Amino acid sequence: MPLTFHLPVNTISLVLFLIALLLVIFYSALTIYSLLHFGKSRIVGAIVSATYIVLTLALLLDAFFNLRSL
Amino acid sequence: MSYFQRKYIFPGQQENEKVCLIIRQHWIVLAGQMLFAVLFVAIYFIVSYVLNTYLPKDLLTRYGNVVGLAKDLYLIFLLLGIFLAWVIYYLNVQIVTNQRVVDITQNGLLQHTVSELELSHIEDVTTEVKGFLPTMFNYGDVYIQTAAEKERFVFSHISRPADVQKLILDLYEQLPKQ
Repeated sequence: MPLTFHLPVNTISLVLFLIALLLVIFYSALTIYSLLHFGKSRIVGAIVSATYIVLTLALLLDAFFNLRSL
Repeated sequence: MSYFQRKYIFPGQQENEKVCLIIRQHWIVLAGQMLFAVLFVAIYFIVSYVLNTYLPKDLLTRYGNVVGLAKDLYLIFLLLGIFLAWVIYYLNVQIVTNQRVVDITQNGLLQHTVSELELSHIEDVTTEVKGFLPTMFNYGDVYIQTAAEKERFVFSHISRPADVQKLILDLYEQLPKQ
């Protein structure tokens, strides 16, 4: 009788997504804090941080919809 | 004063202290780091092409969302890496005022070092432009020999090092003689 092996793709994908989300939130928060706290110009820091947050949120949203479709 | 306006450009700036120059490393240093980012973006497109072209259609249909998720996570981490590299570059800065030289070094996200040198403690200022790219783009190192505890300040990979050297020496000459 042949052995079958079913990968829990949904579970692995969800776990990987959650780990990635936690890491991204942690390092993004640290980086934005450093930029706003130590940066010479708060306006430059705010603009760059806002751009980064928008792009990352767009990618996270797309990843979330891909995850939901699994 | 609004939140976006800082009263002082750097920590410890005095009331009557005039900032003469704010220097960062030459843009080519950041460009070198961004080359790695370009490489990773190229890998992304190559792998996408290979998967779309050579993966069997039934597998692509069944696992398309997993591949899409993996691609998004890859891009998210790549974007984070680019952001981090730019922030570290932006926060590394050298400031020359009419009283002193300040070297602000950001070695990591939470490692921030500020070194100061009074202009009166300067003994010698030397510049070094070594190599093809530094000569072409006019960037190099400025070494400031001091009589202080930290014997040598180094401004590495800054643009127009000769002009920076001249500015520091001119400011030193303008100091009131004791």
